[in-house]
Amino acid sequence: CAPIVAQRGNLVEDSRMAQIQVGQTTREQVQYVLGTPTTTGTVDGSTWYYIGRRTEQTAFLDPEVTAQRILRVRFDAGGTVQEMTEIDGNDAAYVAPVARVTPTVGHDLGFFEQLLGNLSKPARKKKKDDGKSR
Amino acid sequence: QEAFDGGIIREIRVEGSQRIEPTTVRSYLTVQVGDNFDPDKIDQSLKSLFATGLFADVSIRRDGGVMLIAVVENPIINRIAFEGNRRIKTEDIAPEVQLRPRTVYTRTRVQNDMERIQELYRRKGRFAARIEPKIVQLEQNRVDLIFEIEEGQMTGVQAINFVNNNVFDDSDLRDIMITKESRWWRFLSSNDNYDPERLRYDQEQIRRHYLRNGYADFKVLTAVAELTPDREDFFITITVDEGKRYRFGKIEIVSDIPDVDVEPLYSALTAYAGEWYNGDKIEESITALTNRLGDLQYAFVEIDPLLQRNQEDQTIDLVFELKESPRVFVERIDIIGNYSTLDKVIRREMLLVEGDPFSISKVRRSEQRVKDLGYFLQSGVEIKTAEGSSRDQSVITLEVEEQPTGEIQLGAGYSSTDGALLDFSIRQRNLMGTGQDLRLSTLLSSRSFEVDLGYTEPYFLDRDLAAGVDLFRVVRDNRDTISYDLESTGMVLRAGFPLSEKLRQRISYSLVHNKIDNIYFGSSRFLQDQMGSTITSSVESQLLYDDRDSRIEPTSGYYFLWSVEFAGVGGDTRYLRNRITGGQYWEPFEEVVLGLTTEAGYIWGMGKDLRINDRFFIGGDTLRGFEIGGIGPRNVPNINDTRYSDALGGTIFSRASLELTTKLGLPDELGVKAHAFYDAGTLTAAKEKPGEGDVFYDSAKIRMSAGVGVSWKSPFGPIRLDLAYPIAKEPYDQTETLKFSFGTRF
Amino acid sequence: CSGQKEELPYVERPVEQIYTEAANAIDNRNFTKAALLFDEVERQHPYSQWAVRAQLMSAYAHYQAVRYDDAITTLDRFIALHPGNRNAAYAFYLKALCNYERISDVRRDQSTTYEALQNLQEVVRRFPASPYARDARLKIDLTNDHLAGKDMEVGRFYLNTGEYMGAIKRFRRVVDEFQGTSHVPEALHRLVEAYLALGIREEAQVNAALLGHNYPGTVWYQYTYALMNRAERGERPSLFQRAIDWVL
Repeated sequence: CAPIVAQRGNLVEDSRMAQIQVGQTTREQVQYVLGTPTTTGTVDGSTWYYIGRRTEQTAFLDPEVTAQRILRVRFDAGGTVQEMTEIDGNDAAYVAPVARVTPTVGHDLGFFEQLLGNLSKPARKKKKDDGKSR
Repeated sequence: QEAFDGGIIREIRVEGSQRIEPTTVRSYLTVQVGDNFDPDKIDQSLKSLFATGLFADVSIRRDGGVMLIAVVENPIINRIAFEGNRRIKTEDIAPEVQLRPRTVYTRTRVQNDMERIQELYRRKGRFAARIEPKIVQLEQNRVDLIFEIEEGQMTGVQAINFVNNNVFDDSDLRDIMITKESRWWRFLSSNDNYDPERLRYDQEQIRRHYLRNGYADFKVLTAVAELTPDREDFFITITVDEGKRYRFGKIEIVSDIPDVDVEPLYSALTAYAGEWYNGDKIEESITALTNRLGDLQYAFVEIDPLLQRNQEDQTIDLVFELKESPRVFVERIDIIGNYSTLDKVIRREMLLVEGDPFSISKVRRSEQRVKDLGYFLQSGVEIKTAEGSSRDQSVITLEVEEQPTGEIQLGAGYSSTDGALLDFSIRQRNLMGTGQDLRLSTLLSSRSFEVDLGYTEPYFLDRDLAAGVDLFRVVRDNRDTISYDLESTGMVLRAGFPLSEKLRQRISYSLVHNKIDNIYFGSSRFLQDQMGSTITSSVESQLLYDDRDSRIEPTSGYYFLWSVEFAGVGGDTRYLRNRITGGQYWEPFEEVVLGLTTEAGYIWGMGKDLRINDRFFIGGDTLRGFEIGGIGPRNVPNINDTRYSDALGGTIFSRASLELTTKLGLPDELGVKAHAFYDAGTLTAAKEKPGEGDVFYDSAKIRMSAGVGVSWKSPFGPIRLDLAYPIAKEPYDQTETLKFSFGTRF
Repeated sequence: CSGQKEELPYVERPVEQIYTEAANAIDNRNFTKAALLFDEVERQHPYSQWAVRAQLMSAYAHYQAVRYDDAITTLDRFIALHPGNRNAAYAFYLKALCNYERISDVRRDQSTTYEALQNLQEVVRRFPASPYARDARLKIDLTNDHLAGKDMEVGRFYLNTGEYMGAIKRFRRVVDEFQGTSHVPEALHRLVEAYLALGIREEAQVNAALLGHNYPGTVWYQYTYALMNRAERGERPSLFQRAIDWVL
């Protein structure tokens, strides 16, 4: 049975990576060659990350990562590439996301209201912001 | 009338306003007190005042330093009424009309509303409808607005004719079209009303039909609908230019994307040199190529088919040109319109994730997957893409329009095996918007009572794993066929998941309590000691490979189902039941479907003797011409009077059924189908010793039967009648030549 | 369904009589009837000075009768006809309330939330000094918090299904565009989770430090602290633990 293959994120090919020269390529050139970064440093905006992976998923099992490349590009004050390193994924840790959720307000559909109610933009019961209904 | 230019406006006075305060009028002006008189500014003010739609007339004069604005306010609508509308109820027209009581009456708004009502009638197929607005003046500048409607007749389609079509004759082309000629038996369908929208769609269907059969130059020259003098019907005449019939010449794939090896891609093509030209094949090949390249991780590919017509040898050369499309990534996927369905229930159907390379084919396939959920209107799923925060980022917006997913079905029917039956089911396919499916169905008939509660979570643990549970209770009194009553109550836990696109596996565990009692006193000793209740606890695995074009009415493709059930995980019954089913469908000629179904099964008691209700019973639907349990091992104390005999069920069976289904050329909407079938099957090997007074008969002879049947999807419900004549049978088999069933859904 | 609209018999009556009857209906909380009566005032006597007041009262009655769409259409007409009226501020505010009070939960369509946000911002922009502006500002914060909640919901979906890049983009959007909301601590923690899952240890540390520095007292920092230590010690949870996680 053929597993479902998918490409996630921005998997930078070798040919493109070769075009980036440390100390020469500018921020605009990197943007042009590699595209918009998948994400940037939360604090330090001049650190760009290009993250891409290829996954294979069979049936309902966890998708298996068959290829991955995480590229970190750092720019100096002048905006040229100061450092470009590839982060290997083998110190990836297994993380089970915490189940807790920050609470939010908002009207939830009652059981019968949803089962038989009409589905246009319903006028809803009046509820104060603190969530208690009138 | 003093000239406007020069001088300062010392005061702006508004005359003639009743309801609109002067301050409101001044707020729409582009000129203030203290500005100087400036003709274009005043002209602009005039325009903006008119644009508000509040005024029937506005004029601006100058009196020295004072700017005089004389307004005549548009009247206010007091009431709106509709007269003469019988076919379309007032409640249906009112929402279409923009004007409302207490709003301002303007000429243009009345015009638009008349047009909207006209459109409403056109959509209902009444092109002769005429609408007259009437005004009743009231005091205080108020009006009553009455729309007088003259509905006119239903405009049907008298005849559809084609001009210079010699490849396909008129009736072939008419079959392709949805618009039909008005005939008495089409009283239920509205397809025989004239609708220009539908006619345009029909022209496209005809064009594709020709393109599928090699007529690459085909064109619809004109499609004219003339109204008959009495304005009741339309004559539709379609003139076509068929052009020559082409074959595929050379087919090539050319790529200007670096390091793409073209050779293996040829296998994805569905168009072959020498074959008749076929427009659909080109589309299919492009999708196949895109998917193949997508799998090889070339996400950014555009494929243009270049056609080269050579008139002399009437062939078309085809070049698939692979070009690199711009690298664009998905910045964000926004889902709107889901007032009840949860965001993740829709998002998990998307083949794209935020941050992925953008691909049109994945967007289209995702749209189809969301549509297949069945929670939204057929036209209620629409994906729009727009540029994101930078040139290489795109934002995908998926807008859905929900439809009620709760279904309440009430059915009544009659079948010769079960007698009169009544069934009621309530189902919610999108429970609380979570995508879960909750179904409660009950069946009451003269011979049985069934109740079944089913619940399914299609994405258990957010994975592509459909998990569910069924609770059921069946009370069956089948004394005059298999001579015992069965009461079974049970639970099934099931999980289904895809192994590949067409192969799906289902694993289930079931725990069932069966009780057999009031066995007919004259029946065999063997049957007598089946009395009492047992617990069956079993696990089952099913592998289904389904390549049919449709599960409800397949016309091509095949399916293969293999199920293995082991009972004995606790409980007091033990057996291993193996069952293999296969089906293949063809369409030998137009509108004739041939279906071959074969099935074989074997149950092994693994040392313990088999309970009667776990055995196989063949007959009824599985072998037409014979009653349920009509063939197979039987206890027949008196061979000349087989009425007092009991079926004992068998441990090994095999059957086959060849069925031909055709519409007898009748139009689709009638829903009448004729069937001719040939069934064959055998059931044998019950090794039990007969008790005293029992006389067991068992033979592995192949029973055969042939018959005809007719089924009609009537507006009241499906009706089916089967007449089957057993050709080869054992003297003691119980036959059943006529089977009739009728059900309704409302 | 919301039931049929009550139809009043069309009887021409002097404006004071209809107005007082409508006002009484408001007092004994029969809001649907009140709304219809105020509409009658405006229909029969559009030019009396009562009509302007009646329009606003009709919108208020619709609002109290939880018929938000009718209230909004009436308010829009009031604003178009009497933009300069001294009660215009209340009209804008009431319109904002109509949308604000039917914001659906974060897992469903949020177009009402965006509309509410725009209405509230318009109240603050047009009438900064009015008493309604203060309450509007409070509600703007709550609406933004709700929009951040929507991004968190989508982010968590991607995180749970192993789509770490999609998750990072959504959580960064919360941290960057919804600073003041209650979801930022959780967003930072989720970023730590995602970066660790990808093996970008350094960025995980940056986010952990940011969370520790700005929100030390929150439960999210405790989760992050524990997660960073476990990852630090390179400790991989046992297969058994993974199986349990997988099943639950």
